[in-house]
Amino acid sequence: MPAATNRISPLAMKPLSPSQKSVLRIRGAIAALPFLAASLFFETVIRDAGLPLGFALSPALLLAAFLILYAPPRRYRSWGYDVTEDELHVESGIWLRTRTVVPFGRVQHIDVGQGPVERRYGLGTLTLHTAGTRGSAVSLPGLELGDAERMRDEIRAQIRQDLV
Amino acid sequence: MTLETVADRRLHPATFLTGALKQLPQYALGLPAAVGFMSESGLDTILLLALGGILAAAAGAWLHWRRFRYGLGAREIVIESGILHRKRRVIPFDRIQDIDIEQGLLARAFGMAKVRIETGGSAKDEGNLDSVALDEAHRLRELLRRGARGEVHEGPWGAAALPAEDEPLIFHMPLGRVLLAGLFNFSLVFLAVIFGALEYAEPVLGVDPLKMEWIEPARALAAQATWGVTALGLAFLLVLGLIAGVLRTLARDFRFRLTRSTAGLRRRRGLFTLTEAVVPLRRVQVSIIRSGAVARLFGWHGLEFQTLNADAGQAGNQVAVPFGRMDELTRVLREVRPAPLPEDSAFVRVSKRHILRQSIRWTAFLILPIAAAAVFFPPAALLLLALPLAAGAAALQWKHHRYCVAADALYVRHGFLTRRLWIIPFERIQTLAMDQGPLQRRLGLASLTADTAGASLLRMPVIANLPAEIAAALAAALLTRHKAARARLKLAA
Repeated sequence: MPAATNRISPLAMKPLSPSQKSVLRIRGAIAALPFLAASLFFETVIRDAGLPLGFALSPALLLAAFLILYAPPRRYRSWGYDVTEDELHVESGIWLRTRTVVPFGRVQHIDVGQGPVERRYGLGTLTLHTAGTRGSAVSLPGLELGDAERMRDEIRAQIRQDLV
Repeated sequence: MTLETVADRRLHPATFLTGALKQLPQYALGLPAAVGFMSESGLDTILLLALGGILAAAAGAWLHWRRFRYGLGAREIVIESGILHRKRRVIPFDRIQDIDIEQGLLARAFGMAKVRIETGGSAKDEGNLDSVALDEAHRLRELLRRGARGEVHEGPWGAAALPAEDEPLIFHMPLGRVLLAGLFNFSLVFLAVIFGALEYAEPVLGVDPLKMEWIEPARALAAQATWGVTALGLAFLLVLGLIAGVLRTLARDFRFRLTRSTAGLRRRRGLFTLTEAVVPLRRVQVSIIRSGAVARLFGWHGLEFQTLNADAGQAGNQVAVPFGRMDELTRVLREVRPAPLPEDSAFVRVSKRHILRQSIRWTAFLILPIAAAAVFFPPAALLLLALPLAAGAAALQWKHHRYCVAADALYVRHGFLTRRLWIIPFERIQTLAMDQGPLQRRLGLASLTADTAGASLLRMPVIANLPAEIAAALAAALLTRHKAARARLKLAA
């Protein structure tokens, strides 16, 4: 079987803004920080216990390297989206790949959110809310804020047409 | 200019009595018993406490009744309650999702009923009127329902007509049917509840039914248990389980009647507690035909409707037919959707690689716990011999998992023991999701989920393990049909 048919998205998906990689890196660093701090603390304890230097620090450094260097570009690449005339396609996930399709006619309301790290890079997260259970909130992070707002307005216009 | 709605109605005066009766055990039995148990007080002190408890319960119930008022405005219902801390709750008509009427045993004795107003919100007791006179309950519901439809109420309070009693009957269960359904509702869980309740029965009965004489010979027998005795014990349990199932079904589904009213399908049922609920047809999202393994062999099935906020009222979906023949189910279904069920031959199976994937997954899940158990208890390793059963179960799962894209809806069928057939009208689809795990990527498979409003996360009508390219094509086809169905609806509106 050709490899192409094994993937769930035949469409070419648009990538997120490249700045999202930096956002993911900073988030990874923030997540790694408590582990690094704790390992530094244990290093001082370990010195008293006579364990080798770096016994606690090196796994923490490995974890930090994973969270800051290894994971972000892969997570970034796992995302993709596409806006067609009537629906939003969002693809994500490294281990479990998921492609979600939200028909605009089913959108109840739309949010554009911006976290502190995202704000620094001028990015935003677009969230579509539906009445569904699993797909009650479909989020698309890592968009240029202007793009996210434009998409929101376009989708909103679509919803209005749907109501008319 | 808006006039504030005046809350000028009180609950049925008898709620004072029923409320006090409900509080009584707590005040007149619980507290004195606790005091008597914990201190050396004499009987007179305890009796005095019990008397005080009765008075307190009565006073509390009376105050609650005095301070509870409600009233109907042109666009909202207002409920004021609270003895010290007053609360005024305003529920606009257009927020009302459902109005249920419920009659407990006590309420029936006084000709009252509880009115439960459900809104989309999550709070449980958002709008409970517990209780009003039965005809007031019907009148209220009629007014609220008209209000929810946007008809502005004018004129005197009592003018709303009572619902017609001659609504066309769509489905009902005679006593024989209820009893038969009970036999299939075999329940050992309920048995545990009965035994639990019996333990509390001691203070009332004077003896502990669990320690009655027959238990002792039974214990003696159990000590020298042979196969025969074990079989006898199991048969006994089976009979008890059957009786428990029959009793439970009788209490819930006695005089089950489903009628067509202007507001939707009206369901009445219950032996001790009579409940009445209306399922508005436009709020039905998905229909589910549910059949147990044994009942299915005899041609019995059940029908449920998944409505917009199934979680607000009773947990789960609205039961339309608890136990019926297929032609009865289709008659009820026709009220919701005119299209007939597709033929069995129209259903398609998922990829046979489903069996491979499920076997691998289940084996992987089971192998670690078994290995861990074998470390502590070596004979547990024998369980490894049972692993091929995973493949058998996966094959059964595959055999019973089918789907069908018909003219009006997506049909998804799951389950070997309890079989469920979801009927998902194209226009009711909210989102589509295609999932692909690492193993599925290897095998070229993908799962497709059509999400709907009010769906249970635990029981999603997933079409599992389709060939990936078919999953993608099916998703595209469903989207096209969804769009077409929505466009048709818009034209019709």
